[in-house]
Amino acid sequence: MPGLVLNNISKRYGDVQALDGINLQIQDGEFCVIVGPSGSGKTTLLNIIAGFTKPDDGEVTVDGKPYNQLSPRDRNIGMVFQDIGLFSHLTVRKNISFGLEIKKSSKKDIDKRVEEIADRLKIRKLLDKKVRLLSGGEAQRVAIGRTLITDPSFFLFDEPLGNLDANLRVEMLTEIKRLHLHLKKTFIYVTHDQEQALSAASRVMIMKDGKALQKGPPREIYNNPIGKFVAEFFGVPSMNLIDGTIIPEEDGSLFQGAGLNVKVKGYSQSKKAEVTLGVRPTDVVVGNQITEDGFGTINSLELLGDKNQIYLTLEQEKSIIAVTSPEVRPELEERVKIKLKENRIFLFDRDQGGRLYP
Amino acid sequence: MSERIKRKGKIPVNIIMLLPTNIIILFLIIIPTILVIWFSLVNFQPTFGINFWESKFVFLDNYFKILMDDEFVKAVIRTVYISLICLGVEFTIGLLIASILTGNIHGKKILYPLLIIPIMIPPIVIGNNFWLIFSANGPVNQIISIILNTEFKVSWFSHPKYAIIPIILSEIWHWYPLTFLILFSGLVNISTSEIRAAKILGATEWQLSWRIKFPKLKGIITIALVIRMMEALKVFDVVHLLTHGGPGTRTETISFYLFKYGFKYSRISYVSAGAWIILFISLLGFSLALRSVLVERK
Repeated sequence: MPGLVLNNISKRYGDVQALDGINLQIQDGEFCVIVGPSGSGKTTLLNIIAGFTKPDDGEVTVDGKPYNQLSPRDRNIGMVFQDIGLFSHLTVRKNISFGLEIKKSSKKDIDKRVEEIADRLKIRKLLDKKVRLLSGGEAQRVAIGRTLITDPSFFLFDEPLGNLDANLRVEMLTEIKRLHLHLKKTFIYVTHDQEQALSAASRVMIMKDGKALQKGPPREIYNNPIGKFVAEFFGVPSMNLIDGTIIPEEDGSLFQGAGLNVKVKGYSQSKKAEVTLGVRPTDVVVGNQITEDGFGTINSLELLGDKNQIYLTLEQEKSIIAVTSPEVRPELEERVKIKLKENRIFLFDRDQGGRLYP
Repeated sequence: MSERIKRKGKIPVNIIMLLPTNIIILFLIIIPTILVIWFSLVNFQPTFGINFWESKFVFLDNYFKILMDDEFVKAVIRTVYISLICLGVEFTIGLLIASILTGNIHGKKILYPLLIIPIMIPPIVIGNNFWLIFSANGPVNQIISIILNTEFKVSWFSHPKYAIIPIILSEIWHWYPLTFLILFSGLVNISTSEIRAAKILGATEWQLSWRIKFPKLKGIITIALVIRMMEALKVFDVVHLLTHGGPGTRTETISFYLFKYGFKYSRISYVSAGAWIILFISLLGFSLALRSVLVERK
């Protein structure tokens, strides 16, 4: 029996359908990431799980027990907020101990727990500081420590790393992943930054405009996106999308667009159609000794050490990105041959965004 | 900035800009204050026909005299007593309304301006209205008569015990929006995340108020009380309008006492000493109260 079940959750705010029939099952101990652009309803969903917002329709159950009527304080949840929300008038120690102090636990127990947690999060030195004096990363650790004290059965993270700089973000994410491994509790993590989602999640739900577009392990979503939006949204750098026409041929089809002529062997259709071709930057081959699908001009180059990120301009001012091995070193403004890896091409319906191929 | 200007020998714009304000402060505050110090140390009364700079220097004599005056001491105690009642009631009402308005209730947009109307009404209008309300044939007596079902006719303003009630009530009605506004701004500024974090950690409404909201509002509560106390200590207009300090001296406040002795009996030196005593005590009290706020901020 799955742990947390969201059954057909809907929520309206005035004219805006914030959530539209969301179904999700999260097993005990899973690291589930909910990802989507801002305004897609992910925070609303998290607030419904936490009990701060009541859904208009649908229900939340945990191990078969209905949760809809429970107040947040009875849900046994830990939550880390985007703006952290530490109790600014208290010290770090008092922040962490808050959850036990209001339950009137004994002083000895509280001190013991606080120190355990402080050791785990490496914040022992900060315990008697005022939270106002903490740095962003320290505050985030304290916020996590504060939720740990009540030993909740699941943890909600609402864009917890949004306010941190890039290095700290990686560090804190590693910390959160380690915590998950150690605690073996359910983690539900909301973010708009899908790079985080890819690296941490055992399962991902992609949301847009209050709808769940695709659910599954991150690898599967990456390799098998359900439509144009998911394909473009999921993956760094984004998938290249090129508008063009598909022309039926004897053994498959030919895609024409932005000066490219790409053979799509596995796709056969009876008549011409307007489509969008998608290809991951890592599947764009740049070089001179290849049979080309077309030509592009090097617009800009990022040499990242382990790989090169190449910005190309095709015909009709269409820009695409190629990620290549560091050995490929074209000159700026050089006109190069481009080849798209044959079995790594996606075709999408141009208007509806649905996937046509493969 | 000013150093650079001096060095270049240009016109000190900053000083010129501040000059008008400083002149006003000089004539309205600094010179009168110095004069009051002088007045309080000499024996000056316009009716004596001696110029104030030629008056006899009596040192602290005026201070001793006024402190020995039973009427003055009673006026001080009465003012503090009125202020504390007003403060307590206004704080409770203000906090109550502020908590209600921070919640999710309908009609907030209409209630909000309606509730702060009293503070915008001139004291003279409030005074006259309360005079009508509490007059012998006014609505208060009528309503009490209906409730008790017998004729009830108290002349509020000349009753030795009850005369203070209309004064206190009009002060409360006039000034509760101030505490309400200050507390409301404090309450809406507490971050939602903090409140939610406390709730999710298991805090009850009571624990939330006591452990999160109240400690966070401590500073702003002190400031609200200090501002209101300053206002309350100089209560004058309603006393003047409603009871004129009467019956006898039963509703005299500090300001009314100083007004009476200063401008009616022309005892300028005497009331100057009284004014200085009040100023000194209130400055001491307020700076102690505000210090606790400032220390916490560090």
